[in-house]
Amino acid sequence: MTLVPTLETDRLILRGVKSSDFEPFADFFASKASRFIGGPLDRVSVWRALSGYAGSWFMRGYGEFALEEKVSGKFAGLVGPWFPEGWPEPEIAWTIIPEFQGKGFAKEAALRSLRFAYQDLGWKTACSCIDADNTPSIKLAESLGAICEGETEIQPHGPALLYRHRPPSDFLGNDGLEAAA
Amino acid sequence: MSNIEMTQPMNIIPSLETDRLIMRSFRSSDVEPMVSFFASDESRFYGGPLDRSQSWRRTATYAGQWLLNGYGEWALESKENGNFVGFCGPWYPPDLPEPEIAWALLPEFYGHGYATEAAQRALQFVYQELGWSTAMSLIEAENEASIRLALRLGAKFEKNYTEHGWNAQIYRHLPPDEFCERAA
Repeated sequence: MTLVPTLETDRLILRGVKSSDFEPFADFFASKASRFIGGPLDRVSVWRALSGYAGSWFMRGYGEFALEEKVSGKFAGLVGPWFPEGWPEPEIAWTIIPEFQGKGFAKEAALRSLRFAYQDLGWKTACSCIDADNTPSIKLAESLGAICEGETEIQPHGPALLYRHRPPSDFLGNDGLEAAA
Repeated sequence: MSNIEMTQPMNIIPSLETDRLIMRSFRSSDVEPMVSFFASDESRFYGGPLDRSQSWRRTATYAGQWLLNGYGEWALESKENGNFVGFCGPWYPPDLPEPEIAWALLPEFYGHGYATEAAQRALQFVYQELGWSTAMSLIEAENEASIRLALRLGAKFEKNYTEHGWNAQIYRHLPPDEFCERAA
């Protein structure tokens, strides 16, 4: 199936969601670590959420990629363009399961996703909506060069901070070398 | 610019046809009719009513199952006027005991036999293309219209199902050989 393109970074494969992603995703959502993205959730709800991430590709023509660590082949999280009903605008979202946090995977995948959104989807702007208490995520947005524009509302979760990413001209530079690096 | 080839969903999900319906993958134009379906009381047998954002996610969940399971539900489109009339197809979330054939119609399209037509085509697909040796439909005990449809398809009541908060009944469809004989 090639509905979802496969992208690559130094350490990650970005690909479509598949059934083997369910168990590690369910483990993550059973933990408190999922509190910033609507968790904890039971297994049935997690399956529906995962299927919904996959389904975004049909509804929007884009969606989050499943991350696979190249060296182990393990599912590491979901990162990519995401625009469910109830969001103020399309965003670049990221979720890394605890086992793979602290390795810079979210940044690596978010950079690749931003390039995908700008170059392949033709986005003129991009944001990320982040829970105000999600300090690691805020740090990541700032390290990507994003700037907080203020508070927004993401349904059904509630208030979130809207971080505006660098525009395509700045992010891609003259030839996109920076984003590719 | 990009050299990534973006394949359209229509190329990976088989589109099926019946006399009066196209069965195709979900797309963005299905959101509004799905929102109105899930806003209505008719959605109570499908976990509704749901608000807009929940309806979008539910639609995405139906669409996305194709990636997780390699099969899933089709959006049903009227050949005559292109209207989205409902959805139907194989469905297997983890709260079900086994895969089922699911169906739902927008209320304004009740009474034309669309669900029967789509369910028959879906059954033919799972038996012939997916190689299923058996198929059931899980129907809420109070969903009389759906139970009548199952019986019309030749399904028989098998047992009640009360796991995961369900108050439902399992209707067992005709096995592949009998189903094909009947359809012929």
